Amino acid sequence: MNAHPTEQLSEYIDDELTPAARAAVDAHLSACAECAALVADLRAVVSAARSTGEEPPTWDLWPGIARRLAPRSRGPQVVAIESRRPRHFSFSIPQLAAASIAVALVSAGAVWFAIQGGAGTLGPTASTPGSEEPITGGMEEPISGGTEDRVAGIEEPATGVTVADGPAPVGTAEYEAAVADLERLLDQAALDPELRRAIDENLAVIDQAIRQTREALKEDPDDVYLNTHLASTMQRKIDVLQGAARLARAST
Amino acid sequence: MRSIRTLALTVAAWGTLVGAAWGQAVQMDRTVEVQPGTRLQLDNHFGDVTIRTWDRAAVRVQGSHPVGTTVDVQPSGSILQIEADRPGSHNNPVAYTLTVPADMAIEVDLVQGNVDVAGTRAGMNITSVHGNITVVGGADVLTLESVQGKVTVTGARGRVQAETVNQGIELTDIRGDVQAQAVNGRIVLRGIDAGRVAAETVNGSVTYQGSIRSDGWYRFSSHNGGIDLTMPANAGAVFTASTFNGTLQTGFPVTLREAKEGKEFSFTVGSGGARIELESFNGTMSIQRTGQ
Repeated sequence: MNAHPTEQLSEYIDDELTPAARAAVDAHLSACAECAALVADLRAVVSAARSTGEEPPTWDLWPGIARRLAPRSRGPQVVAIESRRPRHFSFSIPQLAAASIAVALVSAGAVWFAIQGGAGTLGPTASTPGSEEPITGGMEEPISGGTEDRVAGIEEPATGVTVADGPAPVGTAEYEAAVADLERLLDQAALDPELRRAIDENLAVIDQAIRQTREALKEDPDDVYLNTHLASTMQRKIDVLQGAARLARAST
Repeated sequence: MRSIRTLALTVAAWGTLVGAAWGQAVQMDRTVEVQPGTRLQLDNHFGDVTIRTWDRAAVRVQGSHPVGTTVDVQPSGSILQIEADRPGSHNNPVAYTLTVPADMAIEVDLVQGNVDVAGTRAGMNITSVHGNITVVGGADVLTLESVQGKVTVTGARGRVQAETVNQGIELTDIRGDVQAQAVNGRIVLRGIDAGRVAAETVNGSVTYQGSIRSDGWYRFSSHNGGIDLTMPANAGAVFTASTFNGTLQTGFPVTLREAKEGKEFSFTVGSGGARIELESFNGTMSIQRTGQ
């Protein structure tokens, strides 16, 4: 089998290859289950990021996170409706890892919104924390998010993501800020102390895994496994924080 | 004299009430007829929930609750809702033993207490924040979530989605796809017959013993724990196995496709077919034959 055309897959997904190059990739994909799966995964991430961009009201409901995500210079941009134009999704592969985290952060924003009362209870106008401006309207669809979303089926996770241009992984500053926002949310909630302690201990377990993986990435920043492992572990932390935030809401 | 007797009776009555409120529980036993297709929805803050089945189109609600608490058993359309009304405190336990039709879908939302379900042939959605979830049977989709509790399922015939944060997950004799996720606990999957299985934990081992379908997809991941995969001797699969500090052991002859510095491997067992992904940052990944 020919070498895996990893560097061409982004252009392949964006339909930017020459006919000859595309035919070559098609031929490879028909014989290589790994690359075919990778293309499917990448398309899923692109699709998720694209759909994310179509729902700016969700972001607007959590301005703290939205502000941090908006200035991203790499990866999928979160843009205001008026400035949005037909988006061109040409990812370098590292940005796909960031995209997967960005998708997770959308859910994190949804959790904030749910904690404030949920779509069904939001009035015509409401204020958002840290913002003087009212938001109008509500969500078009109820928010389920997190584990509920997985009820629909067991999805194969995005795999085969690699860093092509250096070790700066997955929008770290934005991620850390989003985690801090969720943690502040927990601090404000009246969670049972024993439960809070258990959540903190498990977050520490996840943090240790993230630290170890980041250390490993210093040795080998292009490693596919390490990058995907880091992304999935970071997302796991978001998942746990989201779950805790839901509990905080349920407990009040 | 008469007023003294009245006062004494009043004090005695109050004493009884206070005593009851402090320690005594009220027993309940009600049976409600239900239409086929009715779903059970139970919300409880504190107290164990036990669910068994029978062949009647009815739900029997037994249990105990403190004086002053009332338990509402409210049929509403296709839902039978059960919820305790506890003026003053959520900390008074309300324990339930329910007997339901075997094909009744179940939804239990519990903050503190164990949930034990047996005999059902329906789907369920069970959440317990502080408590174990134990299920024997079940079908359709079983969604089981806990924060500080172990999730145990035996004999389900449907898709199982189990999640816990601070304990383990043990699934046995499952015919249906499986998704299991923990943070600080091990995941043990035995007797699984499924085309899609995903098991992921951060701090614990993952064990899988079960079928490997030629068109199946299986993913097992841990950061700190090992991965132990046992599959039939005649199974075929394309593996990717990744680690940073760990090792890979296999009892199968393999055809190595790619390897990277002893950390990432791609290889084929048998004639290929299934897609299996193994990941352990720090642990040993082991692939063994059934019976080995």
